Amino acid sequence: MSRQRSMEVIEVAEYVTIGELVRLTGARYSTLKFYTEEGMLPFEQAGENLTRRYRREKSIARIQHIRELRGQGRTVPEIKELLK
Amino acid sequence: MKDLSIIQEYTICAVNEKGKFPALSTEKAVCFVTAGILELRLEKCISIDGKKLDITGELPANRQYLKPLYNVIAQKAPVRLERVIEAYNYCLTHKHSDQLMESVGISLMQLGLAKEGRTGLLGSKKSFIPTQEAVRSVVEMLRAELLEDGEITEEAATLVILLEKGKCLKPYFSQFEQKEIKKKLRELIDSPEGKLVKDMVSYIECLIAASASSAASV
Repeated sequence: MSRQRSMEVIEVAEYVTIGELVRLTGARYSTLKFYTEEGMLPFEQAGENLTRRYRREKSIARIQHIRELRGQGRTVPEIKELLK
Repeated sequence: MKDLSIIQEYTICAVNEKGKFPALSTEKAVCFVTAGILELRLEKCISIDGKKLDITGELPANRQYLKPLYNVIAQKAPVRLERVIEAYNYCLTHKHSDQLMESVGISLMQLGLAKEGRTGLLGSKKSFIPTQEAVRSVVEMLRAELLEDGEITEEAATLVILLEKGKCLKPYFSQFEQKEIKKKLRELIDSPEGKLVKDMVSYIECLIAASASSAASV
């Protein structure tokens, strides 16, 4: 087990975990998990356990973009189409 | 989300809507002190050898809200766990526990994560009511750490053990999630890297047992 990374470290990291994305964006875990499973939030897999990791900058921008589209009244299927 | 420590996150999840531990819940109050003790250990300020606590380092600048607890340990170090638990949970004046709660509560208020409340007869006691947003952030962070495959941090493992032992999981996690969390903890305990988790579980169980024996002797 490792120690938790501080926000200072996470905010400049190239890759982050889903937990760290939750901390960075304030989004619900279930929401990010759903976006991931639906292919709306790309990830890479690393390590023996194939742990999912996310490119920090791209993922934050993507979450922000999805939020904006939701704010415009778009449905999730519509957003999925737009993101393809 | 801001960087929060174990005792801050535990407090956010464990206090009720009035900002205090329910009167009949000894476990929650014991786990509050335990959170502080385990955090001091993670910060390498104290060592826990069997049932004795000793000072091993200075309190870092970003953990000053633990000073009341650190001082209680430092004054009598090496000190038995039961003595510390007694001082916090079985003292008529609640002096030590009130001081620690105030210190942690103020740290949360400074971060904008709690507001001041009043409890006790004629509102004579200060309490600290966490914001909904603070509670949500901690719970979502735990969900992400524990319900996802991959490594768990020491902080998340410690916090969830404290919440489980303090009977605080129920309001925040579904039965399915609670089962998954317990399964994950069991896997961790059984893994080669699980020694730390195993140690933490035994520390907490030891502290709760110490609290029970202190209660019997009062």
